[in-house]
Amino acid sequence: MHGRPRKALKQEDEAASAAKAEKLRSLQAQFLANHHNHIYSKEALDVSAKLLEVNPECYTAWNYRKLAVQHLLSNSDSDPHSIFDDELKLVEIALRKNFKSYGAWHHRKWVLSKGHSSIDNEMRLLNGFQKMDPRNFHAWNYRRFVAELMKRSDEDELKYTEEVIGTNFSNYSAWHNRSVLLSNLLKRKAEGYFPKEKVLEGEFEHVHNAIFTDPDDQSGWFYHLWLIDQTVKTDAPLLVSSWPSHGSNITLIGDNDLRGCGLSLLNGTLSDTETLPIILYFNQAVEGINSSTVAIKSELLKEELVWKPLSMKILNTAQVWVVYLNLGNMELQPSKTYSVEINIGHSKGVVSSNGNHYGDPSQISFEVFVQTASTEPTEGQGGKRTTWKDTNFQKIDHFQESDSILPADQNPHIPTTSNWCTEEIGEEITKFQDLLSEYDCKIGKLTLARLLTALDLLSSQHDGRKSNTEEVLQLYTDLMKLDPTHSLYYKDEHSLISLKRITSTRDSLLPYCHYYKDATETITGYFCLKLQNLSLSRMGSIENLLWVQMLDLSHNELQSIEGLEAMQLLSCLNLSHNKFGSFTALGPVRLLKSLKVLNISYNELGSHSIDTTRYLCSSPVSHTEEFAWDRFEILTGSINATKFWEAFLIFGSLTLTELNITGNAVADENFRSFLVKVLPTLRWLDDEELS
Amino acid sequence: MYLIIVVFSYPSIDPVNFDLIIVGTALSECVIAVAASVVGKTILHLDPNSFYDSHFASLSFHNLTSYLTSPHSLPSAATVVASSNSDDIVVVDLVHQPFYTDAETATYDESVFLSENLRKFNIDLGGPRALFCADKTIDLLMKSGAAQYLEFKGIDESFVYEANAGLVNVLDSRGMIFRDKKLSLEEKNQLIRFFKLVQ
Repeated sequence: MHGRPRKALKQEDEAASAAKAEKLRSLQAQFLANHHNHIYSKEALDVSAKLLEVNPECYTAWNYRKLAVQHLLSNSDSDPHSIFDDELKLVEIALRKNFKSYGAWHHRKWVLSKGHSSIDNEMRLLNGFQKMDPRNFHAWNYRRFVAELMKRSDEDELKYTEEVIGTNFSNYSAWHNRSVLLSNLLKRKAEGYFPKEKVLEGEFEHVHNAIFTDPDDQSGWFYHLWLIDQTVKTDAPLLVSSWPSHGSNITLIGDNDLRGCGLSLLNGTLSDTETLPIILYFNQAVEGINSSTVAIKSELLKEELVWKPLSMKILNTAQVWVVYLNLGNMELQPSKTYSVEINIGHSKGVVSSNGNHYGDPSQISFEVFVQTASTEPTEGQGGKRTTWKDTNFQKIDHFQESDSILPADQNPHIPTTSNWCTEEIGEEITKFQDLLSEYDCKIGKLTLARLLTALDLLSSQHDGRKSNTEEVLQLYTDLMKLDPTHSLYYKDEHSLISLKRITSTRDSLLPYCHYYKDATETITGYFCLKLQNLSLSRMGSIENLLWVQMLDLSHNELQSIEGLEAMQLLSCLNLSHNKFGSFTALGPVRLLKSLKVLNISYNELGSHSIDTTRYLCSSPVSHTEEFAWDRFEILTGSINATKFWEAFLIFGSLTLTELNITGNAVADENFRSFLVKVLPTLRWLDDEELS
Repeated sequence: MYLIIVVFSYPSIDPVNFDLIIVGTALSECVIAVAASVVGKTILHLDPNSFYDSHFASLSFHNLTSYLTSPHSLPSAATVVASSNSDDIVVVDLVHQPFYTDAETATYDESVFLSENLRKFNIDLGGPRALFCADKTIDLLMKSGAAQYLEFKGIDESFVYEANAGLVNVLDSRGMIFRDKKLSLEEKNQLIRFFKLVQ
């Protein structure tokens, strides 16, 4: 038992325990011999039955009995009914020994699935076991199986959960079963369970009784979370953001010199580029993005386009999709404007993971302007080292009035949310604010934070409503103190809300935007978004940052940059002074084709002998990656290869000109020389120019 | 130290001298008998009935009818004194308060079932008694060993009678608070906090 000290056994108890162990060993040895030699005689079956009565957890014995049953059915003249009946009797004996034995429940399910057994007694058996332990989720799983076999209606089962919850509402399994049943009924639009709003209102009322009766009992809170999800979720995939955004103007510059050009956020400026990315950002993972479902009309279009999912996994579904217009083969006319028109969803085919179709055809138009080539002579070797010192950045006082960096301002396609959802969430918020004013409750605070976030999400297109961001941030700050065990989760949520607040309006974003000045103190065309010293532990709101070309995330607490792969325009990235513990965590940068400058100095690369993110991120170990082993072996040569393959995986496909890894444990001479080989385009390493 | 015998069988009694002779086996007489015995007195304890005499007796069916129909008069203590003709005896009359003023019995046709099962039933004249779990009486019952002869049943539900609403459940558990339809959510929360406070 948890938390209870183990006491030394008395002499007689020790003797009894030893005798029992000896008997068990003997049974087990006999059983294994029979199993190994495929002996299925009555005596052999009796041995396995005795073993399972003593130890119902012995999976091997249950599997042996399955084999024995199949053997008897094939070879014996016995009645199938009596064979299976013996199995059911044994299962019942085993379950009385331990009614949480998975193997026993599974065996019973297997026997019944053969179709030879009567199911008349199953409910009686279930009711008996569920009385002994009303929370036993094995029994609840089995109940769903039997109810389906008996064709017992979801409505009747729903009544049963109501009775069980009425007896003791601290029953997670009963609430869970209820959510499964209601999911089925709502999906079928069963009579009495349509419309959805009416059903959910009743369920909210039901669970309120549990939550208010005993707020410290979390069983009702988990069901409530499911109800919130049912209320808030949108089934259809939506396009929430794109780059270029609708109505924008892109300027193309022919050389590296950005001086004096493109001082506008909406109207981006690209230099020295042969490809123009078009990025689509959806509210959920979708598949089916191709040249027929997303039609592009433009003079710039000369060849078949191939849309690619931006995902760290090799999947056909992704939340972000990108296509590159190839401009390198074109004779672009100076001072000419080319228009691009994108139509999404005019033909079926864009589907989300849960099978819903993109339903609202939408259109994005933007213009591409080709700048006259600069007549000024190029200085030096044509490139300057990027420095991230504060003296190289100048605050932007205001945006031009015509500027708008927020896709939401330009996206009329988000459908109006049902008023009912907003009202329901609003009522929940009022109730829990009342509860929390009298009663301190951690999970209540967490639920309130989630409700406020959901309300902001629902109301995002109604700008009149005041945002709840400050209250949500305060709630998560409180929770980090109240519940230190889960502080990392609260910190992540806090980061996501902070970023949402920063990127929500033009005015809120302005303080973080700076002009970048190069070594000659000349203002370049680069805007830098500086999100330093914000205690960020997680990245979010990427859909509002697709336009960013220079991003400073230094001096935060990031361990991952998941989601950053959507920022296809990113050219300069500063991750200095964070908590990256492995190269695997830098995975998203592999997909940033425009990335030239990367600063990962003063992190923890190489400090941890075990990479705890390896199984969360793609890697050669997971067999989902194409790994250029040949090139890797050539490059590593005499160097110890095993240390560097993860770095090779990250850097092998990049064309960096600047890289800074100072202050990481991994940064020794061998690694530096390895990097120089892997990155032939590299010109500066750790702020030193390479010859 | 003392004997309880049935008078109608008239066995010989030895010894013939007693410090105290008690007639009747009601609770008060028994308490007196025990008290005298503890201090070393010799006691003769008599009862003219064939069952224990007490308002708190548990009577079989036959004894119940006998009890109800028998005259409540007992032989007067003075009569006993007169017959013994001894000056050493002090006579004390105990006054019994009647438990009821009148009783009427009606006999229905006795079925076979009733005949066969009469011995299985006893009627407790005093009715059940309610005790709190932590009452001092419980300690007394345990200490005296009387608990061995008692059975307990928990009270399942309590009700309050209200003129307008009739019998109303008294909420005494978390489950009942959860199921109640009348309390507001705030009241439910307040009530459970009160329960936790007094536990």
